[in-house]
Amino acid sequence: MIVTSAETVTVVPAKAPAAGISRRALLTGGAAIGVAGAAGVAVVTDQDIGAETVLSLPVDKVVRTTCSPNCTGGCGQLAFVRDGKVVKIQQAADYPDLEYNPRGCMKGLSYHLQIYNRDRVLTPLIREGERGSGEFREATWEEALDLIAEKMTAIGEQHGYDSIHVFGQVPGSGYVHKGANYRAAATLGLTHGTSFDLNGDLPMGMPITFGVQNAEHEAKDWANSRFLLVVGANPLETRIPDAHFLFDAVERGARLVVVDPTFSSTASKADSWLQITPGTDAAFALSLAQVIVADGLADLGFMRTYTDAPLLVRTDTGKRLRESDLTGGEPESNRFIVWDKATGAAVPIPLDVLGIPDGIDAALEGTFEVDLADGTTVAARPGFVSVVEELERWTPEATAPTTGLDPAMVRAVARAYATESPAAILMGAGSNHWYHGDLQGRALALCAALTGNIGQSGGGFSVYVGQYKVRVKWGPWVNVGEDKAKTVASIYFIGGPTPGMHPDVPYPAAGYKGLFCTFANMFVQAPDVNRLYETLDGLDLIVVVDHQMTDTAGYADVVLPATTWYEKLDLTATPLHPFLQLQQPAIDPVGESRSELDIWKELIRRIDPAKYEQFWQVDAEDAIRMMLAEGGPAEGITYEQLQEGPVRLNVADPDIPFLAQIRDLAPFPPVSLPAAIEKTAAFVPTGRIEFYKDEDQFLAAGEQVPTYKPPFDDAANPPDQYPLRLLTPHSKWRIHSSYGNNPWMEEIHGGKPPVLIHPADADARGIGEGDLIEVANTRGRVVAWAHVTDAAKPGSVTLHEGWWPRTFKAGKGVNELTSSAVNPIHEVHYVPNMWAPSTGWKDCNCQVRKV
Amino acid sequence: MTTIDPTAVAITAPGRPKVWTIWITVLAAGLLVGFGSFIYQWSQGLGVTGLSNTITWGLYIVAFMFLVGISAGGLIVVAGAELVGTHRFEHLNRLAVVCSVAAVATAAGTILPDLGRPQRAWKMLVQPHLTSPLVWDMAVLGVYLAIGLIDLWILTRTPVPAKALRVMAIVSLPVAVLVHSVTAWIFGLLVARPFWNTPLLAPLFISSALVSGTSLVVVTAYITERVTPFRVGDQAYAGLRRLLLWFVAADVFLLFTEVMTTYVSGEPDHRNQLDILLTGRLAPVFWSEVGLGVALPVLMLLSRRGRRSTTLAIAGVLLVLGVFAKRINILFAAEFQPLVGLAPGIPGGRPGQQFRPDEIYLPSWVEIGVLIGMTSFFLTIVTLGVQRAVLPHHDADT
Amino acid sequence: MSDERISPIEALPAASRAYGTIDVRSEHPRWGMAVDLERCVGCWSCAVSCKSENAVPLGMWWNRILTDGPALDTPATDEHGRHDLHWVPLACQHCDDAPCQKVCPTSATWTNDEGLVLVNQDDCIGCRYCMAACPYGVRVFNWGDAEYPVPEGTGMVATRPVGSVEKCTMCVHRLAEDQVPSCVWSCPAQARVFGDLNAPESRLVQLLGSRNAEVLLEEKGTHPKVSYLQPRRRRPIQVTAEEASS
Repeated sequence: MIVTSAETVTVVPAKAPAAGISRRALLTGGAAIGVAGAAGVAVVTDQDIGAETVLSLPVDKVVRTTCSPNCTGGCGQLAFVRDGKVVKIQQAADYPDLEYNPRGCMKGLSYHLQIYNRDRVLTPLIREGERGSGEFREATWEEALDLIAEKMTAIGEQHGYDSIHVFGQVPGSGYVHKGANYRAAATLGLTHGTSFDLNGDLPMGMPITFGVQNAEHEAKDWANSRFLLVVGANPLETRIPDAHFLFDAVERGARLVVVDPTFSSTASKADSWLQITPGTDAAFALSLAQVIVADGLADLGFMRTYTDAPLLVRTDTGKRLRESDLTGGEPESNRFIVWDKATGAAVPIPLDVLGIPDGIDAALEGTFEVDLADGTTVAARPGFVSVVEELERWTPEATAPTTGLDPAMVRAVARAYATESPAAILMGAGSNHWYHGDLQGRALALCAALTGNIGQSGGGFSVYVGQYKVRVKWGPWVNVGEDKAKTVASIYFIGGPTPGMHPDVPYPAAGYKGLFCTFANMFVQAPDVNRLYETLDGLDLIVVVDHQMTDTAGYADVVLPATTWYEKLDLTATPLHPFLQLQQPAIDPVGESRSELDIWKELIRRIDPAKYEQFWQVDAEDAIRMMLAEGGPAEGITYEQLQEGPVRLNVADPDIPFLAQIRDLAPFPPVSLPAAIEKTAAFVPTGRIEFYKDEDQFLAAGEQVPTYKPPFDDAANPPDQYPLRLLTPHSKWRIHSSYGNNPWMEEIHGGKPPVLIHPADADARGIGEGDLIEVANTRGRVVAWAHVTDAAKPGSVTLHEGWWPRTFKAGKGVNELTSSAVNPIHEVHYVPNMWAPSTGWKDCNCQVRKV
Repeated sequence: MTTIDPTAVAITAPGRPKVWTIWITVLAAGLLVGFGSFIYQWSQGLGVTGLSNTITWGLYIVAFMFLVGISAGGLIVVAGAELVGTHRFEHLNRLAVVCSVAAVATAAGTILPDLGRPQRAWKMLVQPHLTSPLVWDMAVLGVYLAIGLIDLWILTRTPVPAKALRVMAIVSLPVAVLVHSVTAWIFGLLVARPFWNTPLLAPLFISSALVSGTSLVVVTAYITERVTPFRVGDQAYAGLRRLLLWFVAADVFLLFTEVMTTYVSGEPDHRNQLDILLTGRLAPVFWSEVGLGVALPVLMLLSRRGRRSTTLAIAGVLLVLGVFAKRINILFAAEFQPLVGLAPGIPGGRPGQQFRPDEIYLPSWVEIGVLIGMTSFFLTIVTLGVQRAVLPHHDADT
Repeated sequence: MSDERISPIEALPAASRAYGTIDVRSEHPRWGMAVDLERCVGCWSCAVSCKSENAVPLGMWWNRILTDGPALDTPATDEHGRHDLHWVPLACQHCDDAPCQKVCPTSATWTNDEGLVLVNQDDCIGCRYCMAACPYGVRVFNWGDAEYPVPEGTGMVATRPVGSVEKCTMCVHRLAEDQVPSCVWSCPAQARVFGDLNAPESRLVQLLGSRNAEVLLEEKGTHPKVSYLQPRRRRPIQVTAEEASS
């Protein structure tokens, strides 16, 4: 105890010392007032929701339109509009075929974020700095259009208008505005590009085998199957609105078998999953076919009736025997020949009807001596013999080392497929996106034909990949008078002409000087983008029309703001279902955006005023009426009907391909709009399903019958240095690169591209979950994040296509690594988007290392 | 009996005026910081804290649990001593009650910054939902605070009315037990948190409260002894030391029982949350608590110097920190592992935050600011109480 | 601002409205839901639709599609190397014995007479006790001013104030106009079934009776009104012994 010097301590009442108390009182009092004041303010401004728990907010209107970004959904949507803004999107669920309802997916439901997001291009932009610097200035439409017209005219006069390439992606997503691109090309003599083939989606196995661009069962028919073989397809992620038909089928007792190198979402619903080595689907399919034939499960009657199986092939030249070989001269219809076992002679059979005439017992096996008109005798065999001979090389045991599949399982699958009828094959881009994608398709088609599953509800061989299909007669809209747009397969735009390029390809004499790119993120999504950038450097003009400021737009000379499909009128269809639908505007164009049709009108008015007057005094509604009036599948459908909702095209129910051929024995192929039938009939000169191709290129390549060839090695990336296969499937969070900048999608997936890699491959490289890794080959590199999972197949890595460059740690994206070599088989004929080089994305190999 | 003018002596004596001024300044600054942080948080929303949808209760609730806990020692020491009939701690009575009152008042106030809408807090009083343990706790804390204030009033009468004191003792002891039990039941009645959902939680809270509350009395007494003429005396220290040892023993026993039962035979949900403490993310905190917060102070108390007041004070501080760590463990072990923890997790809560399969919690500067404010508030009340209730009535001859 | 505004339900075209109409409604409905785990493809359409309908701000979700595996959309592998991937959509379970309701200090969380657990924003003080009490973790909190990806916000209902808790309301505002919740409407696989648990002829009740239905965390005794129809038995192609040996 410390005391003062005083002896006693004075008694003092227990009062606080003056200074301390007053300071404290001040503080306390001040604090109290402050709190009270803040509380008062908070109470006053605090939102009073009221006793009603949830209040529904009214809207101005609801507009029924169609969401159509090239996903093949073609889903009816309702746009709820309040104060001139879309505030919610909900599926229309108004399909008269109730099993299609509701369609839609999480991306379409978040589209209003795309309409209003920060990447939306609101005004025309003109480049100021270097290409790709991102330096643009806002300009008026007048200035931008004048500039473009001026430059296009300059190119046109100096090099020819065909030196300008119009790239417009697939027509099914909007016949009016995609069609406007074609119409403009036809008007000005520009060349229009292609998309179905550049996307790698053109399943060349189809035109080669059936003579059609593609032919698929409408999705609801999956529910009629007893056996579904899904090869290289992931409908749960890529056909979200239709995936449920798989479940409907299974609920009715169907079996679902999925063939995929990765344990995909679809594989998770399968009864059996076959983890195949990537790129060996043809070997797998051939071994199925081998078992079907060897076990006596093949429907030889079908083969005889509908395919080229009985048609005799000369063993010396490998060419088919024609009537002219037997009789000489040039008969009016140069029929093909079968061997009639009844009479022991070679006889012609009709070209204008399928089947074998009564009385003729056409052989499917054996070698026969045939006397020719010129006096010689030649040994000939039915085409089927070559097929079966080939199959014997591909027994399940023989293919096991290639495919990595257990032979006993393959045998069991083959037997199940052949007996659990009707059985459907659903082939996807995972199977088709290869240099030899045509062989994969042909082999699978063979399985379908051998089991008689063509033209049957619940059966078929269907390839679902893109919204390519022209389902109306759009000729009057896309052509101007007699002029059609010159179409050059866009792979030639990117890489230049190849030695084997078909002479029908109207490649411009002066090469390409300009690019008009609409609604496509071409500089991110094209194969071998570094090569593409080299091509772009040689262009005088790059115009990009888009509503999002993508990297493609960022590299343009002029960017034009486009309307989304909530801001314009259009007509759409999809291969997955046979409903014709309108896109109807729900809101005014955002910012200064305009539709493609409006843009072209303004450009043509400047470049060729006469043609503008003659051909461009039309609006979107005119275009739609024009197309409907042509009839065909749209016979009887009116614009007013479409305004009410979806209208089913005039097709069979269910819409199954080849019904006329299977039921009425009409020759193959059915028409593939918009090509003239003569063009596509040339694909299958026999008028039958062809498994034996006798064109020179097929013979030279040894691919006259379906066979297996390993993934293409372009010699740029030796496998010992680049040992991993790079798979680039489509991600469910995007439609290719669309929605790559959608905030809601990003909240879910996190926005950092994952590279799926098997633990064995990861451990060998010291890579752990989430590590930064470099994926590279001689063409390019990206840096992304490892996702180690044994869902992946050892020896391959998966990096989904479509991630925007800005999401990577380094690099422009996965297409720095991919490329497309042109397969000479794809150049035998040239019909754009129907027989043209189809990009092989997945032949790509790479190496991965930790960064 | 002489009383001491707290300002005439020692603190304001020539040579040591600065300590008091500095102290007041520090407290004022702390209060300002706390208040400012609170207002900032109120205007911006709770997002400025480190909380999220997964770790939805953080530093504030830890502090709440802790403060309720340390309020025990005071009243229980007073009431217990009264009922048992010992006079050993009688001169500490007022100090003990001041500690309790300060702790309870601060605890009740701590709930306010944890609310998303403090401006609606009055609804709890006007339309309380009687099945909610939070409502029970507010009621019981209110009663406890009232008891404390009444006790203080009684103890500052001269002479102290013995009968009233006895009555208060009989009333306050069960209320004290109830306070800690009800606070425990806020957590313990939730099926969603298996780690909390144990009957042992209430006893654990009581035992921790006894440890921390008594330690608080020890530490406060020690500091007050250092800076004022207040005297504690060896007997009181010895008595407190023994109490502490018994309370720690009880606490350790309950903790051991809990861990043993869960570890050896507990069901998976409960065990998973326990593992976070034993070997998981909270292991450093848990084992520090056990080592530095329990083992070390016990050793100190049992050592040769164990009876020295300085040792007691240091041990007291360690025990208090240990109990604070225990609160952290209790709260976060249950929050780090939600029952439905499937990928990708729980939404982060703020724009730009993706889903969180795994959560980290670090208090933000706002929470620390508010904590500083709460601490200052507590110390202000203690200072006020010591100055106006303890010192003037301190029997200097004891 | 137009004077001609109408309710978003009334604005629906007839065919669309028919799609979303609740099938059966008894005198005193008790609303429930079944989620078919076999049909769920993990697309998050329901979660997005909910976010859109209810103007749920950025960073918040009332409905999440959980992956029963190590990470989003990543399969789990058992000791035999077999993969399993399925999704568990999770939102408020509208429990009959809701722990969140018991602990709410101001009765802001309450159950209406049709069995829905709702939050009265007037009374919510933001203590987040309900969030600690919910075993499913389905409640989210307004940590600050709401932000939306589009400036004007989205959605069909009023937003909630800062500092309050929110969660799935089973689209009570749509039920009032005889329409199913948004998530049920928007599932492209029709994996969600909504109905009146008190109506035996409702599709929901019939489905619950005919399929293997489970609830989440049954042992916690919350009695959720959301059930999960379990994935089907697979019928893998069998390899016969003779095939295997040949």
